[in-house]
Amino acid sequence: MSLRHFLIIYDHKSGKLRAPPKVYDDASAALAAYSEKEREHQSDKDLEIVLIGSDSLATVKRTHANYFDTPATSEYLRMAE
Amino acid sequence: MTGLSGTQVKNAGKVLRVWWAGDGAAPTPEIEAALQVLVRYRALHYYPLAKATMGLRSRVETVGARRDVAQRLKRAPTILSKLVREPNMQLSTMQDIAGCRAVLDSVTQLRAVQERFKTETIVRLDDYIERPKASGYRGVHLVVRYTDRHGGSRSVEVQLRTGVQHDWAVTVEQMGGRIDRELKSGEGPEEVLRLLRLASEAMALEEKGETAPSALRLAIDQARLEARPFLERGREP
Repeated sequence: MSLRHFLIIYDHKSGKLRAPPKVYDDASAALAAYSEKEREHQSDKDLEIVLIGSDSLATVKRTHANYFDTPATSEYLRMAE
Repeated sequence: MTGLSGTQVKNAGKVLRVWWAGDGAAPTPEIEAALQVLVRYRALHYYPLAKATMGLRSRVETVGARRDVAQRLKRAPTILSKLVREPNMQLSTMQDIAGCRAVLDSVTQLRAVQERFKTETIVRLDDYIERPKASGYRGVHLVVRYTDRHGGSRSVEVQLRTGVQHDWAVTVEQMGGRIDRELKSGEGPEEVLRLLRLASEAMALEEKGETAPSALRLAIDQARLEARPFLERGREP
């Protein structure tokens, strides 16, 4: 199975990704970039940095939909916005 | 294990817990060193996690589900917050540093995938479908042991959720992020927590093909009104 790594930097202030996810096919490069970005933004509590592995970005958009501005599908949780 | 002893990991956790609970002071060299240990320890989980994710994906395929499988290594700030929140937790025994997740179509399909984990070493099973968390969280979590590249044994948390359960959890993450509260850990305004709890109940009933009773629907409408001001307030500047 191929595993691609997506480094995500999500900004809670704007409710959006800071930039399109950075893609790594090499695990060690992905891990190094992950901890480096965490370190760089250590004091910024509004940024959420996470490394997700999956077969494609399309899958990540479903399994980690919270980073992709997906509106709630349940009528119970939909807030008037 | 590649120059990292269990004691080192444990001690790093202790030092980091105190630092993270403090007033946001810049890291001292001691803290920097402990952070390095944390990052190296987390990286040791990579291969066991990749193995777990592959195993999960093949099980998901076997039961004929869509292949919505992904993995993540826990974010450092989340690891630190968990150490602060759970004073008895050790960094060296935290079981969800590595996690993978599958989103399935139905509870039946989820149970079929769960059944196929019987061949693995399961050290913990939390059935939050039978017994949902107080927050309303539903799903099944398995902690499975996999060996790392150096012969060590590492825990990986496998999360199984249906699409409906996942939708709920995603919304909780989003709302929690919007107001900067760990809603999924039960932290935050009671008005918002109540809405989430009630919505989860109604969603679970409908997923089973039942109708949410009108009293529950009314309670949700009321809860939504009461939750809204908190959700609109956003994060502290």
